[in-house]
Amino acid sequence: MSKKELNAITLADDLVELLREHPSQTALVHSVYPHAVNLLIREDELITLTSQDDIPPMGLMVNCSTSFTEFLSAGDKVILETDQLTAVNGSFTVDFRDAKVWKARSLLNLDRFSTEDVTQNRHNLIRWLAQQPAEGLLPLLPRLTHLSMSSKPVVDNIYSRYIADDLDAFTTAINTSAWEQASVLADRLIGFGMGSTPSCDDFLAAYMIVLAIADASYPGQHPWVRQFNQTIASKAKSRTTLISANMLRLAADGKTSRSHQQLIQTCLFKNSGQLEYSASQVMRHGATSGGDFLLGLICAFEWVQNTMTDISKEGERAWVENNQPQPVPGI
Amino acid sequence: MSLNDLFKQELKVVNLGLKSFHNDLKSQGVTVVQVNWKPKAGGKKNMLNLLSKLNKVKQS
Amino acid sequence: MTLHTSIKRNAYYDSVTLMLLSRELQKLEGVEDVLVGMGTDLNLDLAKDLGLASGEFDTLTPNDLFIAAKIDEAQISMKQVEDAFIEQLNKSAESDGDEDYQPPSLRSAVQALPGANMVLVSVPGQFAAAEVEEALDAGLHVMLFSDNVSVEDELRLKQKAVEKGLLMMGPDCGTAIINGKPLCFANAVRRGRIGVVGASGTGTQEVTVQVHKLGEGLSQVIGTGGRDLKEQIGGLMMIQGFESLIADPETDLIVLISKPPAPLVAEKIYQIAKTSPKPVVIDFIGGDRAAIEAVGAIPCISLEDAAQKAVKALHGEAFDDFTGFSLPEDYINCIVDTSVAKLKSDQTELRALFTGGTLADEAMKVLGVHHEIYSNIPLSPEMAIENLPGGRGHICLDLGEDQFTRGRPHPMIDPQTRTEFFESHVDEKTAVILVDVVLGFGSYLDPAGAVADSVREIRQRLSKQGKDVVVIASVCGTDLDSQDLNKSIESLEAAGIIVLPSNAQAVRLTDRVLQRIKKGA
Repeated sequence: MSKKELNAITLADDLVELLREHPSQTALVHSVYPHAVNLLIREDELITLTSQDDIPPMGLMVNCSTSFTEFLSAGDKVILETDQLTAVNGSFTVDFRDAKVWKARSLLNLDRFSTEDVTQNRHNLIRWLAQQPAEGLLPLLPRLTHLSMSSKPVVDNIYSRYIADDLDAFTTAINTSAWEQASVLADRLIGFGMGSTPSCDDFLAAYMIVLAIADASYPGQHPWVRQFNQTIASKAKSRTTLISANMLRLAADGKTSRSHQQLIQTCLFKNSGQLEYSASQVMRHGATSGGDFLLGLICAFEWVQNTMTDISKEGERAWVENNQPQPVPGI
Repeated sequence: MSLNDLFKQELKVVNLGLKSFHNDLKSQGVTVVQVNWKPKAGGKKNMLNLLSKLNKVKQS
Repeated sequence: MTLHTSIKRNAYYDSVTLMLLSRELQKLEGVEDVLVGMGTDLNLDLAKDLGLASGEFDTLTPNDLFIAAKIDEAQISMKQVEDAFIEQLNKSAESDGDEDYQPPSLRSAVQALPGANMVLVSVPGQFAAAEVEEALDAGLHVMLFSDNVSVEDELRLKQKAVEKGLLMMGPDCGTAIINGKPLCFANAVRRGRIGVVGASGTGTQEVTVQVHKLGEGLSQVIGTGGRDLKEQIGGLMMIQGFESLIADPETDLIVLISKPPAPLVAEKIYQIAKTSPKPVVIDFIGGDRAAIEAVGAIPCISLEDAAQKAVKALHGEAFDDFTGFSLPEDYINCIVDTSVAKLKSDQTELRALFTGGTLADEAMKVLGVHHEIYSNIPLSPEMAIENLPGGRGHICLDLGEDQFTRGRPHPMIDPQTRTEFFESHVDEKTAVILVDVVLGFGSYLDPAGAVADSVREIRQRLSKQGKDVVVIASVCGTDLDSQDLNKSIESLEAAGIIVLPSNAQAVRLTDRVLQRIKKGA
């Protein structure tokens, strides 16, 4: 068999960091899709090779124009070095030397954006998502956004029907900042749904990333975020698939794929002409279910809207208080 | 390739950006390749830093 | 009915695939109920709730895929269900590969397409220059559709292109036809002997459409981008294109289209025209007629006039400025009479809503002679739309300008912007509505239909006050365009819209109607 010589186009920075700390190690091919491969290291961590134009945390994008299934199978061994990856059986190599590095953690600062824009973009995203095929959790879009969508009756499925009440209770809890209750309710969600990242996990991942971004944007304002995210990530270890548990662990840390990051960013900017494009990229890419992630994002942005309004209100009040006429000493 | 050579050749297009331009060309039978283009995330500077870090590790 | 569970250890599929698969399995004869999922506790709970749990469940881990089914074994076996699952899975994997391979970068695309010679760039402006540079370095011609590229970048890139003998059409270049192939926004026109270099998109479209209507065709249509003839760029691409058409054996006559260039740039172009062995028609919309004639080139008074003169000069026929109408003068007077007759005395104002920038420019230039027109592209600063006194007066808008397109597609692609302006800007004082309808590649699939719908709504609204309105349009398109010129005209006329054969004539008719209203008042 001829050896496939691939080049990495982009590397996630957390993977670069890992390679730097552990310059040579063996990984096991965990799962193979036409456009993606997961490699298992250190018992329960995954590295993802992808040939699509999207990259997840701990990922590397390679210039592979054929399906990975043609030359890779679960159980194959590969050796990871700082500048290349080699299959032990000699079937392929990936050269990292010309790769660019991409930051896996979102650096967005919510403080720079206006509530009006977020509200408008969220509204546009809901309208767009309502037009998409209602797979996964999407039949619950009207219910979770409290909107009646007259256009067409929603056809639901067993999974979405079963989880509707729990999902509604969860979003209500978190959007009213009852986070302790929310982390208990999350027990009813983790690992639920089809797919190697079950639907509810995609939904939760969106929440966790938005929360992590909010936490970084307003340091100290939401002290519970870190604990909430960590709780879900650690529960996920035993309650969902390995792929999904990895996704949630990274999401707890504010890390997600590039298409997700771009979409979140697009949701924040004024008059985002790119909104539909970014959303369709999320729907299209990856082994995770984009629609469920988008639904989570829409719900999480309801929380963001409330949070941003609260903070700007406090800001106004603070300004008024500081500008009260002060008694002049000595008169 | 000079401009007047182009006029004598079959037009072959690489499209970066709007997919509709690709579809229009394809519908006319023009050979066209769509690039799955995305803004390059992360600055170049940042990449150089990390890569040079990598290389140092390799040498040590 | 019996319960079965099939287990695939460490099997991973995305949820959409599994959803579709389980739907297919549900359809199988003899399958009463089926659930597919990963063996997480919550999914197993669901299966139990549905009465699909079997003894095998105890061995499942979250990383196992299960198919739990209630089946009638007289009709189907669990093995057959599994086989159907695998078969559907393979089907969905195949359809996955249907889409063309999309390389992730320009470099890999060039490798994937041997003999590539043109790169079309429409990525956001801040990223465009780097891509263009890479393309030029690789010896490829470029059409740069993106805007928001700095003048400095434009100059540097065009200098590089000229040095290498390459095209660098743009930035903000929307129209070109190379080797008979329309790029971006261009109309389907016949190939022929007239070559065009244009700095304005819809201006170029109108000229090529009119040439086609006159039975002639185009050899090459080269775009330059709107800033090319400003002093900073010095007309680098117009000159490059002009010279290449002079050298092109397939081109017998050359048309140059632009807004008035910077004087120094105009002079350079005139000098080339002076020595051109081929006739040159110049429409520098409102340019210096005497200077053009002085170098032996042919000056024009409109885009339509440019096309007419080009075709006549090509045929060796004599020509004059075309200032009238294709229809007889009596007929035009009749249209003006009947139009004005249906207006009430307080209906005096113009609402011109253009999607094509150059078509709007052309309208402003003609209408501005006799009327005070407020616009976002005013002839003088005091006539800016912001200065409209109390919202009352004649208005002419280029809806493709940045202030209207931010965050939404250009109105030639998405008619929504103009639809909204019909609603917000036309009222009981409006006498005349003037519009352009641009067909061709890139344009909306039925722009005429969108205008017709808006006009019907307006008429209904005005009829409540016992009023009507005059609507005048021209269609920039050909019988070869996918939207079809004749079908477009029909749908406009069905909505009671007066359709003229060119923008120039539509503007002229509007001018006549407005003059008649003024006289009447």
